[in-house]
Amino acid sequence: MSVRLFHKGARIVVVGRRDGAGVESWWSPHFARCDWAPILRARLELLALSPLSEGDAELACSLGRIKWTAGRYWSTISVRLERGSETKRTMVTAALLKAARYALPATPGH
Amino acid sequence: MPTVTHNVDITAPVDRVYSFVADRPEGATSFIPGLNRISNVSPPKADIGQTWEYEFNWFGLVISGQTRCTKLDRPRSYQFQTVTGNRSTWTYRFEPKDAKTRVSLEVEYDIPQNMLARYASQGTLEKMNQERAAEALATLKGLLEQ
Repeated sequence: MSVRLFHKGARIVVVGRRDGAGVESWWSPHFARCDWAPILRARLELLALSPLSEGDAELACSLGRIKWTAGRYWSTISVRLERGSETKRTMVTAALLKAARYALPATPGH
Repeated sequence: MPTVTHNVDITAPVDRVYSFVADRPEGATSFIPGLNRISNVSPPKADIGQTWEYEFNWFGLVISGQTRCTKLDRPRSYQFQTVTGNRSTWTYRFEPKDAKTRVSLEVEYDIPQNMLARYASQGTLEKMNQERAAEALATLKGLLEQ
């Protein structure tokens, strides 16, 4: 067992705007381009939400869609989950945010 | 060892609930508060002896270690133990009830003495863990129901 103050390789992802259950915009600064597709897709698969790629920077799932713009120094991620209960949309959004912050891209899911 | 127990009724078939919890250990990061990472799941298919590494944010400290699946009785029970650091045993039980599934979670754990010093009382620590177990099951219910 080891004890540290931070997760190695964690990303800074800030909630910039919250417009309701499952409707949020995030902002993430970084020094190298971040490939969000496998990170977010893996989490949607774990949640059995049937993710489908729609272009290079968008995923559709059974509750709605997630889009992102991935620049050199920062990314913006837009979550629009508009189907399912308010509770479910809130919890799925929280799970996606956790993945955006902590998931390791080399090992799908985490 | 202190024990935390909590249960919840989820409107979903028992097979679906069991699969969500036991088939992919990585999925636990979606519903257990503070559990931020699971990696190196081996072998990929759930079985007794399956191991994985976890990173857990425990009230401000990131604790990492290894876990091993110790019981798998589909679709009735699922158990795993942390095998490095402070020992804990997590047991999920699944019971079909009409169109619902009753899920109970029991966690037995050692309390690290340095944490006891930090939080002053064992009762406070136990209350925090009780709240986390309740939150985990409430989130599991929210993710599995429509």
